Amino acid sequence: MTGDSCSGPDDAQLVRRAQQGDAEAFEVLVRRYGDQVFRLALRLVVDRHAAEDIAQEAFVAAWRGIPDFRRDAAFPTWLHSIVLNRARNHLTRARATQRLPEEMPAAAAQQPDAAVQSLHRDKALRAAIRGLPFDLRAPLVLHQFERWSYEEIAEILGLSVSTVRGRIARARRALLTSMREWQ
Amino acid sequence: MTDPADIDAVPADGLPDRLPCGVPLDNLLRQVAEGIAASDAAHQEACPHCRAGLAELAEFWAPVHRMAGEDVRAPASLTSTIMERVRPMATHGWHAVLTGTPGVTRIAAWVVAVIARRAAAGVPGVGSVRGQVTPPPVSVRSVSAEVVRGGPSSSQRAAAAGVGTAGRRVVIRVDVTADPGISLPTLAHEIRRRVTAEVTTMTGLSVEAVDVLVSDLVEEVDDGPAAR
Repeated sequence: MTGDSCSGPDDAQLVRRAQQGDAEAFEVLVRRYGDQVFRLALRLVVDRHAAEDIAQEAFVAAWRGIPDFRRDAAFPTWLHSIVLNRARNHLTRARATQRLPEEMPAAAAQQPDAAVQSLHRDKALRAAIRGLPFDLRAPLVLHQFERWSYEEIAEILGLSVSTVRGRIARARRALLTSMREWQ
Repeated sequence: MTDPADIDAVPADGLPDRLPCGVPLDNLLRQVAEGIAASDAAHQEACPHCRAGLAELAEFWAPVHRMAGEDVRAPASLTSTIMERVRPMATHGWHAVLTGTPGVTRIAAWVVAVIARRAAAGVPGVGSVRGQVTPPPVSVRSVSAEVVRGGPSSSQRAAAAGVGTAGRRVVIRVDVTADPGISLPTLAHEIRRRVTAEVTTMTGLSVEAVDVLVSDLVEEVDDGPAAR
């Protein structure tokens, strides 16, 4: 997940130019990683409007911070760590004014049709992700949805690989427990 | 939400740690979640507990796989929205740096450009325009802008400056219009001299070069009150 995701100048070249103030080079990075950043934010906060805000804020923060970015680190790893911080801040603020999830599923027994049942389970999953504490949610999302390796997640979160492995296992159990409750 | 201090504690989630056959539930869950092969395939094929457990987990985990397979794209406006915020920072955000003790002095390239423009605009034979200072969209570690200066009888002439910074060194580009009939090499020499002196005096930066572009020859016209 840390390599350049499309053709054109490689990340290192673009980062170097952006560090010299080249906004056009930075725009290539935005286009290159915009979908990934938005998707990660969406998986973390389960809210499209909030995810768009987080993606914007993350890229603006990346522009502000890029003069100090060490080129020996992978740009996507650094960028994703910014997204994680922004998402954590968003969730912390949201918790202070928490409301019921918009897509709280109804009980499955009231919905006999298989397609409706499937939809119900998708909603149950989103509700379950919302219920995960961020320290479990982040490694689960990075691994399960973004396909990052345990080692990459350990680097981005500043944790040991064994801690990451343990948190992902706990997150899976928590999801399973929550989704079974909606059965 | 869970207390962060307890995040790595063993959860009391009501799920069994192991199946009746002794296989850890987490192993089966990981197998289903990551789509990896069983560590003991022969046992799983024969074990009714593992087979039942795998079937149940696969059903519960199906929405996760569906979500993971969704083609999520950022809103089409995301890039333009971000760049609308970034570009002004690119224009104003780069600095020449003077290190000293204590602390560091950063002088925005834009500030150097303003000083250079004003110095150039003060050279006899260089035109000036009235109005305001407006930063146009630029990139690549440079700042350029039209200087607008003047009074009621000033003519519409531009003097622009671009500035590149590297530490305490600056390279300045000055874009001017000139009065017809004037010696352009002499004009350029005087612009370099004044710009270098002003920038050095006012900022303490080291002016590496002043590139002068004479882009037009413009007759001075007295606009008069009606032309304003």
